[in-house]
Amino acid sequence: MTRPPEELLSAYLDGEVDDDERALVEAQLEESAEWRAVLDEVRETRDLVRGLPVRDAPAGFWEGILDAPSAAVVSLDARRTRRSRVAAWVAGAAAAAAIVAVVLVPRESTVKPRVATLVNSHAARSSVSEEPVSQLAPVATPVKVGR
Amino acid sequence: VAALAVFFAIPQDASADDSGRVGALLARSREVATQQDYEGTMVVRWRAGGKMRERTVAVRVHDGTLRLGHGRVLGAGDRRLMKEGGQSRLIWSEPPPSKLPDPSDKYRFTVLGAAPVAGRATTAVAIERADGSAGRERLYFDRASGLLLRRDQWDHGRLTRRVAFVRITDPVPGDGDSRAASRLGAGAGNQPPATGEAPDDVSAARRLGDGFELMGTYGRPDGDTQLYYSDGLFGLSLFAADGDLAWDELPEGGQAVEVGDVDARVYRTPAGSAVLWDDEDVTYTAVTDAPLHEVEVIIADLERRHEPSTLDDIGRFVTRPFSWG
Repeated sequence: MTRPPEELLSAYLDGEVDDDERALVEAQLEESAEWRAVLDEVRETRDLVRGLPVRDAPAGFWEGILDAPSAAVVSLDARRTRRSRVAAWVAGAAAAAAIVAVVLVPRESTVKPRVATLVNSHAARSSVSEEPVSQLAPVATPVKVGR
Repeated sequence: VAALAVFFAIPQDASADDSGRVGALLARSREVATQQDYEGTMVVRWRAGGKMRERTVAVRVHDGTLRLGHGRVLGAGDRRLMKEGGQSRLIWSEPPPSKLPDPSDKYRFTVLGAAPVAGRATTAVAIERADGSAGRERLYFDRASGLLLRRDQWDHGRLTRRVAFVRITDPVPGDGDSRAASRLGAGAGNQPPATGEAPDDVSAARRLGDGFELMGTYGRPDGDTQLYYSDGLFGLSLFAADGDLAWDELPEGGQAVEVGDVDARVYRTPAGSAVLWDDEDVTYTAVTDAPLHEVEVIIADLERRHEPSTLDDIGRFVTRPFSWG
């Protein structure tokens, strides 16, 4: 089994695949542990980036963006295209974390709670007041939601 | 059925209410969990999608540091580190409040006869709602060390969760907590914790649902607020974020439920239930290991508090999601 195209899995997670692509991905996920592992990687990377803080842009930030070389503008707009999606997530997680936090993850009018992250946070808080081993053991392997 | 049969076969050796004795057992289990050195294997079982699911977790406690899942989760003192996205992240470093609520008003405690867990003698405790409603809990405390070795939860007669040692070494006294916590902090690097102080303008209901008292309010880096409540036995985190819930984009596998006029989605996880709903441009997520009935009562309580009866109520409501105080 060849390694799956990560941009396809990322689009699948975002619900931006057509019916044929969805059927293909789900069939491969059913059959291939490697596809499932890569899907987990893409999801974790995406969740990590989305978990970065959202802060107000400092004074002059937007002016700086508008004055930046065209390549920088392209990289920001590229998140809307499937092929650049994974590169945007991964690269954003490291060197461009601040830009990602402010620009690529804007406040949305609808909310998609990161349930696994919230479950982890609850378990951590509970374990400080309650008996810690029984509170933390359930999250000692990554919490999968919806599968 | 087998589990229930084993439970009900345990002879009771005490009166109907042992709240004082059980309170002491609970308190001791919290204290000694990281004060002794031991290692073992736990099994976590939980019901989701009509099936029991299972995970095995390696546990090691040494010199005050708790390592679970071969280091995926670390704990010492009030600090908790968890691997997310391939790196350890400090997800908790806030001290807890000094005292949990007294659960004896809400629950009835009964000390049962001995029952072995992982080959060790335990004191088994039954916990039931004082009003006799659904939801039962069984705790098994190691007689020699005081460690909590097993925790079972039933809801409407069915086992819903079990966290239990299936193997454990003899616990021996370990090093203190203080140095372990500082070592754990050093391992977190310079990253900010995932939780911190709540914004100044957040005020929350001090009591919610059936006996849940506010233990703390916290801010998250994504701007969400986490409120932590406890009824002395179960903890419940209530998260709030501005905006409507993206119903069409939720992961599959959840269960649609209705609580009064509120539509909600429930996900069963090994750590308990996560219940999502929205109301008046705010999305809520409640995470708890308590029976779902408790969440239903809390949702109904929140709905009642949202009904504006005066202009003052309206003003407070639109200021912040948690302005019901």
